[in-house]
Amino acid sequence: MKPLVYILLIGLIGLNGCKKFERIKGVDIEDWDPDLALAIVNTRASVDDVLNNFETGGFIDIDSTTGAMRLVYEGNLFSVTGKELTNVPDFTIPVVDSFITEQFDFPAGDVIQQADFKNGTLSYSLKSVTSGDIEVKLQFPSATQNGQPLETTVMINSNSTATGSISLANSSFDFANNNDFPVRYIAKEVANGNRVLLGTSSSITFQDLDYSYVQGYIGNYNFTLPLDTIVLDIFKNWKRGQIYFDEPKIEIKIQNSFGIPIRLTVDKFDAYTFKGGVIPLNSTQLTSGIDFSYPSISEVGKTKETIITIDNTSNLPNIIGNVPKEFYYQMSATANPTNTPTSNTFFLDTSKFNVDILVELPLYGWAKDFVVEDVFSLDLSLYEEFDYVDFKLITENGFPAEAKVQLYFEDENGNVLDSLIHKDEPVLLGAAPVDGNGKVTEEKKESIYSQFPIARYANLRDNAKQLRLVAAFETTGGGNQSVRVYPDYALAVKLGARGSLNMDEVLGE
Amino acid sequence: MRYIYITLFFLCYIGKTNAQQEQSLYFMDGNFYNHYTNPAKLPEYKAMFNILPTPYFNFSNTGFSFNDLFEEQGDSLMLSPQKLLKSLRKYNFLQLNLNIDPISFAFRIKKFHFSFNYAMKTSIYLNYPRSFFDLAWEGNGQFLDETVDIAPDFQAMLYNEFAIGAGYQINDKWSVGGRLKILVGGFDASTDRASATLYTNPEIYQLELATDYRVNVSAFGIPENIREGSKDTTQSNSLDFSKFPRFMGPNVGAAVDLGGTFQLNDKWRFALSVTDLGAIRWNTNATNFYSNGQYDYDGLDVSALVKEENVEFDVIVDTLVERLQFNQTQNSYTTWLPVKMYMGAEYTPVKWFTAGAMVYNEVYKRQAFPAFSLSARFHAGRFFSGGLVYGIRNRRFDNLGANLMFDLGALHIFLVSDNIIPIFAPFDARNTNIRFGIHFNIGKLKKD
Repeated sequence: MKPLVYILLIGLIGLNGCKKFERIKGVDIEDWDPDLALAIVNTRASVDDVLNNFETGGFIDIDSTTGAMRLVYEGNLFSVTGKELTNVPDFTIPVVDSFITEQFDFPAGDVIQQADFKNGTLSYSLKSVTSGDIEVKLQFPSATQNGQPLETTVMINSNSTATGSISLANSSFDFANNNDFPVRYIAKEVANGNRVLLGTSSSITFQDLDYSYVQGYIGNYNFTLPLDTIVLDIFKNWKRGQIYFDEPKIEIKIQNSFGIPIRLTVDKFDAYTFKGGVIPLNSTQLTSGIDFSYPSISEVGKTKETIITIDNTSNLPNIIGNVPKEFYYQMSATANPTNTPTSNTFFLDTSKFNVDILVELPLYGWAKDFVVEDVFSLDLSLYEEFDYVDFKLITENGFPAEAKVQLYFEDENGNVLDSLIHKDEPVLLGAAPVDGNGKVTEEKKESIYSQFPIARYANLRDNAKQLRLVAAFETTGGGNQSVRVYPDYALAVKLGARGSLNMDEVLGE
Repeated sequence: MRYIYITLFFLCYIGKTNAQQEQSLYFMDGNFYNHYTNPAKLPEYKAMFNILPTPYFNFSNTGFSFNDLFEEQGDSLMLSPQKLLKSLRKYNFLQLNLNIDPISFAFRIKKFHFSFNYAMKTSIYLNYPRSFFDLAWEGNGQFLDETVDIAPDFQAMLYNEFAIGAGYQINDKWSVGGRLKILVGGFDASTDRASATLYTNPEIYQLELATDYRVNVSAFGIPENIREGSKDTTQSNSLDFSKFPRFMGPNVGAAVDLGGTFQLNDKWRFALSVTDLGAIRWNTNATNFYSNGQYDYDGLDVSALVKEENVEFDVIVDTLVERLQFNQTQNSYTTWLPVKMYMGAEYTPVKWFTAGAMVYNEVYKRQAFPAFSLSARFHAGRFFSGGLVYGIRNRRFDNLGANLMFDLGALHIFLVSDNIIPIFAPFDARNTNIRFGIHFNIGKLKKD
């Protein structure tokens, strides 16, 4: 009996065990709110990184000796080539005598001493009025081809007309005497060598003359240069405040391979500014135009450079102080502006001139309450399962300028919902300390915590669609002291987020 | 009759008993399988063989019990990760073994003893850190400036064992023995490098994931696309068990058991043995998945914003996933069996009672798992013997095993377990094992 009692007793225990398994209903995860911490942003941007990323032509130039930096914006103008300056029309010379001189039909006012042709055709039609075959030698006393006198020999049958053509490639014509061009022929009977004359209907035609070099005077020629714009996107996000660059300048650099005096006229050079509207650039160096250098007759093929610098003697500092967003300029150029004919000017078919406009802003100056603003789209739906989020922002400022920064969360209509840093008050990022020479000695580090508990975070998560960054900069000494920016200056921004993830939401319970 | 009831009573609780690894079996002289713990323990019969396949089941989990996993909520039980975390230690160890001995026999010729057995063995070891669950439950925000170990270390193996044993009674005092085992691997998944840590930098919560983690897998029936690392999800991902080797196969290994006994006098006997000293070489169908390196996530570089380009914050997840790279190779590898060492002493003051003590150590992947046990065994005539074994293992002191053997002439029935306490408290159990069987013993030897 006893064993049976024991077995029954233990059986009851076991039975209870089986019942226990039946009571298992599920998994209790009501309190599963893991605390997740993750780095969001970790960026270190040097001056070079920030300023060299502009897409509108700006670049950083660093002096290899001093390390001084300057921001350069560039615009470019190009002229037409020498091929467009003049043209040599097709020209026919009636051969009415054994020696004739005709004037080449150049455009009015052009006095050409010499023209070299890379292409062209000389066609002839020579009529014999003699019975018997004749040999005609055509000579062009003022022309050479490949360095040799230009001439050709034509055979004409009795009482017939001979036609043909020769290439004028690599030929050179001398028009030293008032565009005159002489032609001679010597016609002899083949049978007896007697000289004869050709029929007066004979002619020579110069066609498709394509010059490679022209020496002489072409008169006034007006170059039309396109309208151009230089955008200074460094200021594009400006909202208010003052900024001043010491020693700003505008350089006009002209590279010219025309062997002709040319004058550049600045028809318009205006600055569109945020604060002062449209301000024309005024400089005495532009008033009378710019006569730029040109190669001499002994410098054929070379290029000469002319640089005009517009600096603080103009109203450029005032323009910079009014925060320009772009420069808008139009120029024109005139060849032979003084209308003085000369025989020592020339141009090649490839001759041209380039005009580069460089707006240089040395990174040396001051800023006072210089506010920039930018808006970024924001989508927090990825983080909708978080109950709350705490942000940790660390900045390492390597610039000798302090910044007051605030980030505003806004809805799709731009209404402010909240701010990232210390509600309604911007955070101050201190300026990096400088030595006696104004050079930064170490970075200034700031750590900022910003907590977004449940209700506050829920408002952002559900409604925030954009993030507005507003930053006000001021250089050392309350903005009254100029500072220089070096290439190694950098700003590091690190942002981490820590929050409680609601696993009920994640698992869809 | 009462013996049958008791036998049934134990059988009802298979899977609920706690047990240690073959510690009670060590003290069961006269049991056919006793020589598995020391091949020098020679049987007392001229011949012994099993009638039915002899199963052995072992489960041990140092981390938690059933009650540590569930929480009462009114009439219901809810799985509670929080409760689980409270019970876990820094490192926790789970072990599961299931062996079947379909064929085993032994015979004695004068002073020599020979044995043979074929067994199918499944062996699973898992070493899991608490920090892995902590990280999942608490999140990494609770572990700033801490390096968290998140890598489990495991070995899961299925293999056939063909063992030939021999023992020799040198004289009245000394006996020695050994078993040579040919191992044929059927399946293995194991780690031979198991390090993965996560560090969260307190600055802005940058992450550093360092891995030196390699999982080796060898199995017949792995789909081709998985073995080649294909991401084609249209093909089957299931193991084809029909391709598992039935008896022999290409992944072969060997192991030895060695032992000796010393009979000091009529009352005292000492024994020392080492078993499962060996390994399997996985040459065929071997695939290795290896991750080694440090992967850092420091946050997104948003300098693109300066260029008014978009910065997608949801690439953070993709970036983290991409950083963790697993390379795949097909190199052979070797797995070592957990080596077991037994050192024991027995004292028989009277013929019906034997007291014993044993120090046991199991070495798995260079970690030692020692245990200590005390035994009291009674012989009630020639028909029954039984005993209790108290054990200390894995820092737990609540292990009480029992062994029963019924000698019905040539037929011997036995049942042995290393922990019977879970019978009374099954839901607090963390260990269970049981072995039972029936074998024939022929020609009992007379003791000199």
